[in-house]
Amino acid sequence: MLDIFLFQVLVGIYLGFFLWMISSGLSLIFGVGKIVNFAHGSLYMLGSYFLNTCLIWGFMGVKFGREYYWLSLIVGSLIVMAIGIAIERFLIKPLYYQPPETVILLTFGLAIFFDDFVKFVWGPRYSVGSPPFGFEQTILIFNRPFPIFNFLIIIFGGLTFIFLQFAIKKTRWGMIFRAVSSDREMASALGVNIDKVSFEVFAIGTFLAAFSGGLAAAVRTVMPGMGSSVLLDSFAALIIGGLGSIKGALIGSLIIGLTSSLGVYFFPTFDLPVQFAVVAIILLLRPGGLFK
Amino acid sequence: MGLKDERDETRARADEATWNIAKEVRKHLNEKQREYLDKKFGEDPPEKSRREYLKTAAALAAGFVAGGVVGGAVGWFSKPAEVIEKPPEAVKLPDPIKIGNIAIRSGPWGSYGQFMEMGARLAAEEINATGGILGSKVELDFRDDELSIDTGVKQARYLVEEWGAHCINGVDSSPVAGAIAEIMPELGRNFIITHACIHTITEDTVYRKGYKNTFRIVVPCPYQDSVLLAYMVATWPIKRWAGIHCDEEYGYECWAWFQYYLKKLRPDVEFVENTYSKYGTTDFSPHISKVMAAEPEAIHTTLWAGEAVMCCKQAMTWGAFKTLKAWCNCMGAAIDVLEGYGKGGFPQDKLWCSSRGWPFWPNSPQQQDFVKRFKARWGHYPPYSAASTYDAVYAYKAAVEMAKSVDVDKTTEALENMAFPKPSGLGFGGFRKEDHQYLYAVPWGRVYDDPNYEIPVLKDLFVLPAEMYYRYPPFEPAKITP
Repeated sequence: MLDIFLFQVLVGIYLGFFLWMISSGLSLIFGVGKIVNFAHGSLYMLGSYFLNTCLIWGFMGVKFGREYYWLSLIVGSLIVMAIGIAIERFLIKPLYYQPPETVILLTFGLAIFFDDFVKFVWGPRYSVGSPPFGFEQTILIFNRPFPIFNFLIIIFGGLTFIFLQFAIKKTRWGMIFRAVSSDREMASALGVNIDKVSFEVFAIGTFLAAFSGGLAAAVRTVMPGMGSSVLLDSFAALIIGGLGSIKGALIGSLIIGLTSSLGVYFFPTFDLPVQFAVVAIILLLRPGGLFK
Repeated sequence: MGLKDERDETRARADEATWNIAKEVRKHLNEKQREYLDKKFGEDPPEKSRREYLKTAAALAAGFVAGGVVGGAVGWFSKPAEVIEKPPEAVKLPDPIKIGNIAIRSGPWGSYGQFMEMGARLAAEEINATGGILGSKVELDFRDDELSIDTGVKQARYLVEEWGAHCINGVDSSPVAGAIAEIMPELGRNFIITHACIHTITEDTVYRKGYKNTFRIVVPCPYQDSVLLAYMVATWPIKRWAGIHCDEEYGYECWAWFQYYLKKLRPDVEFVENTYSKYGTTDFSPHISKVMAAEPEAIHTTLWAGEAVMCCKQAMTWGAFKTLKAWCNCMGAAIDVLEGYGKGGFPQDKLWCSSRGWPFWPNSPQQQDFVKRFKARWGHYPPYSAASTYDAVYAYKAAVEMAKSVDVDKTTEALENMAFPKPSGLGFGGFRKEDHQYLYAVPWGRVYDDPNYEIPVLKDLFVLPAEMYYRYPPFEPAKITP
């Protein structure tokens, strides 16, 4: 029984790190611009679609082929990053000093637009991929098979956290990021180029969302609307962890992943209510989130 | 699976099923058609001729027998046992006759709305090209119910009260279908269900509550996905079953009934674990790890569309098929699901699926012709919901022609009483009077890659006559406790 429980915990950690990969970008973007980006799930979705386009579907007869998963992942993420930059420059930037609900409406509209956009471009049908060559196998943990690709996602999540923490805490860029997150106007008054910081953060956040989407294309269904499924969990993770906190986003994601996995096991019909009951309890005890 | 004795037994049962279906079709032919069949095959043909017998009987019903006097006289399904007469001048039908279609057209399941549209449009084009319904053209409209009861009901009201629909076809979701069925008496129109699967719509809403305007032309899933499956797997050397199901009535009912019926046939089996997942689940890893911890030998799952493919493929990634002997995916032989698996993208020899309308079985000439025309029109094999919507448009046409009216009482009576071999070739009977459910047999089969097809297809088909696994009035409440 203990090994079943521990295995389920490991599954929860995998889910948590996958969610962290998606929500890290959302946290970065909120931290700098105080932007609640409802289109973040769409960027994740576009990451999946562009990965599949590079890998198997092709564009005007050009595709890399199944052997080039990692190249397709990078190229697809860069394409979506370019889309994210365009969104930030042309749509969001003019609204930085407008009431926050204006940006919320804009990003919500973008989410609806992208759902229909993918249907228009790629059709309404769905596609389910497979892990890339060399990562289809499993390893035994507690005498049960655990996919190597899922381990890789845990590793990617961990590396992303280490990289972001290092960048934010130990670099000059990170110092500027923290200053802008803390007090945007003061940072601007001190000569920080807010525009440039916002652009860079949005680019990184979009890249992370698209990269997660590319990873998801190997193990989850690529279909219109797939982004909205993860958006709710991402926001829950951010709220639990404390809006704008990178460490908080990771802890929040792990809590969501663990409650999901253990909820399915112990409370099968009530896994979702259990998950959000945990969210509610944390917010009652720490209204600003765990690391506000 | 694959023991010779089991295969032989399955084949023998399939042959018997073929003969039973052929006998059923024969009942719906007129005297001259029966005479033709008996003269050609004898009253009890040998086994090897029985499939030919069924093809000929089906072709007669469709009017396709070349050179057959009676075949030519039957026409195209409007009145399979009688010649359609030119209506007298006094019959006045509205022109156009409007058929509204409600389906999910947005979000992850939006392709199902597209499938319904394909089926409806093909039928309407064919009907209009051959003179319409007693001279009146067919006009269609398509509305999105967003899988929401409120939206579905609103769309039904819009189609009838504002657009002027004479009949409504649809819907995907069982709760939405049930809600629409309950307002049909108020709206005074027929509602032909072409996808929604739960048995309670016909057993409760139509039979018990008496909402007689509603008909269902597609098989209710718990019958095929629990009862028929139990018959199939009763002979398998598998004792430990687990379930991964959708967290809605269909999932709960199918799992409960499957346990009940299989336990009756095989008291030695155990049901070791089960789990339910909500719509929109993006990762089934916790569900898969939960059930696999109980070490089942086979899985029964009611997940459908993209979730069915995702769960099975994730189970493959999790190494589940190193120990699993079978994965029984209810409604898995839907064209979109098989496309989602793709060639080589499923657990070889272990994936079993049911179909609510398999385009290659019973493989009658009329079905082959329908598949050919559908593929020529849409570049796609017909998904079952497309075929059922196609059939529904023709069913309404047949009812209006029989009733010579669009008055709902008359068309209801016509739908109840007419023999209606499906023009898609998927069924040869008609709607049951008691619950307005169309009776037709569907197969379970093993998925495999056939070089002749672009998508995985089924082999090792298991078919029983529908009468063997459909429920009957008075439809005692199924208080099943496994």
